[in-house]
Amino acid sequence: MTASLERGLNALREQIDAPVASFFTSCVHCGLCAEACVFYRETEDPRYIPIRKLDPMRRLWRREFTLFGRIGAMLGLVRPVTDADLGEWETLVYDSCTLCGRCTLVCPVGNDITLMIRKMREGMSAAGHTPKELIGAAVRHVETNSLMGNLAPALRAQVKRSVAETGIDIGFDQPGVDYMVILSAQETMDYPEILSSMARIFKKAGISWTIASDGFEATNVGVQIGSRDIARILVARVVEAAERLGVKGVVSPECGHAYQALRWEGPNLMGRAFNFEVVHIVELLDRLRAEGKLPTKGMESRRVTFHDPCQINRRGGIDREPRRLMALVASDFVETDDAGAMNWCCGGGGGVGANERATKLRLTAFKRKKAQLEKVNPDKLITMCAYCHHTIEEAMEEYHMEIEVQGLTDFVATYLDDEPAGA
Amino acid sequence: MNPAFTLFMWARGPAFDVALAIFAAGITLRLVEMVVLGRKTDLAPAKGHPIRQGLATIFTRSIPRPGLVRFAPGTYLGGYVFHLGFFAAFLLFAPHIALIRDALGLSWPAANRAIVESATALAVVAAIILFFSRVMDPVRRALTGFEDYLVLLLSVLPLVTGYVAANKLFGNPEMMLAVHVLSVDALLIVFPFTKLMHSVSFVFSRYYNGAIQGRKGAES
Repeated sequence: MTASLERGLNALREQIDAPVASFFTSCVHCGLCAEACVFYRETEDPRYIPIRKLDPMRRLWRREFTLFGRIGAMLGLVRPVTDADLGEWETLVYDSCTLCGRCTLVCPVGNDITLMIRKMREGMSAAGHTPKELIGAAVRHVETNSLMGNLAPALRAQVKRSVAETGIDIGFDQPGVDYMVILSAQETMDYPEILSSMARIFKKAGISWTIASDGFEATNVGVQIGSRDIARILVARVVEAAERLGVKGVVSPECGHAYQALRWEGPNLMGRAFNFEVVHIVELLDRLRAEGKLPTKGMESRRVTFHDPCQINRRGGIDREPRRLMALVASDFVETDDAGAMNWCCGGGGGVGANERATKLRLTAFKRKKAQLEKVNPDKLITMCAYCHHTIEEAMEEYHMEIEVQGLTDFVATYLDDEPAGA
Repeated sequence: MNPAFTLFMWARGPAFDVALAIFAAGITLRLVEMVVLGRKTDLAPAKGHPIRQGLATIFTRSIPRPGLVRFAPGTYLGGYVFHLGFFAAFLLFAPHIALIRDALGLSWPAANRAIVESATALAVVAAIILFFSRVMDPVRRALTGFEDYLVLLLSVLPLVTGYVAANKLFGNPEMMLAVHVLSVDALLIVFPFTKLMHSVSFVFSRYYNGAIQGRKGAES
């Protein structure tokens, strides 16, 4: 136990840098982060105050990274961080935080609390305090090719089905094409229609693309569990495949943390910049729209709203792109309260959805989303993250809500004008 | 010699010098031990403008997000009024400006006495609201420790003693002035050791927040 506590504390020490020190130095204990947190707001339990979830890390910083804290530690005024502390904090750090980032946007002194939770998870996983489902997913992904186990046969079957449906060929491992597409396991298993949608859109736009048989999985449980080592191994598969194939870019799919993992953490995990571009599918679609390469015909006339995935909008910077696409194909588009950068999380991100013991809490947190949706009462909800899609669908089942959910790429493809000219 | 005057001369003389030295050296130490931890270069190609947004966030974060104020009105309102009132009393009161002019050679116009006194009174009321929110509100209570009460008390003392001294409300005016200066000395001394540091470090934390978000082209 001591050895793993020591490993955990070492991992935490490695995470403490100037920004973290400035955040802890600045905190005035105002508690405004709580008002922003979906878990606090729906439970009103002060244990879920975001900054409080970092208490062990804050204590470690005080004791070891400040002179006054070191003196305080010698006088016995600042308690050391124990294995029991980390054990107690496990549910706070993994069950009641989706890394959604709302607290980061409201903190009056500018503390990036979400970044610190991400960092704290590095220490928690090294100390052995991680939900077992996330460990299982990490082992499966490292040993096979996806967090759900070997997904290669399923993916090939889905590709075959898509080719039969659209008549458009999808090639594996083709070098020199424009883009390499990666998919989240959720898409491969639950929402494979994305393949046909991309095939049609890319064909119309004259884009060549491929899927790498040894680097097709976009999800990265290393980022959720908080293990840079695992995250690096998984992201390297995609990076090495893209470099081997010599593609111009990699299309990050409709998956929030996958976008974070490859686009923002990827180069830092690999320790080098990539020689290809990482573009989110929705950024790419918006680019095609601007270039006039995304012709559409007709519009959805029912009432449609949009759910911003935290990792793609608030923590990913993709905010206007989906709205320009919505304007293209939805005639009765309505925004929910707090839409955009302050949208409420579905409650399932950051590994929470995979964590069985967090189910009740996740469904309680969903009440915020439910209230947001009920206020605009849409027929259809569009989003751009397969995991939000899955979480929302499942929770709506629980709350007997009848709103259709669809991925944005698939929604746009529904109205793609790709009939041959003159037909 | 008048003991009140002696105390006053000590408070604004040697005691103030020591307090100021602790204040300046302490802040320098805290900032140095923060900045030397450094920050790894971010290798992800920027989508937005990290430096520009970091600098902008130092200012823009002073404005709350729409819709949030109603969930913690005491904290927001109390916080604003206290900060504005404190700095108005500190920086717009003619005798304070004269002191700063003598020490630094800088000066600016003072505010009307009624404005300064109203600001002081409002700041004290705000501090009382903040105190009660720390006692009554479950979120604030869960985050509050001895340091929070100490800092609140030490921040409000210069306002109260200054008001009493300036208006000669009660006691020996010279003694009240001595107590006022002593309360300022105390505030300067605890500053680097407590969360009062936020009044300097917020520039860094807001910058980092804005720069991290700005790199991604995300809001901050």
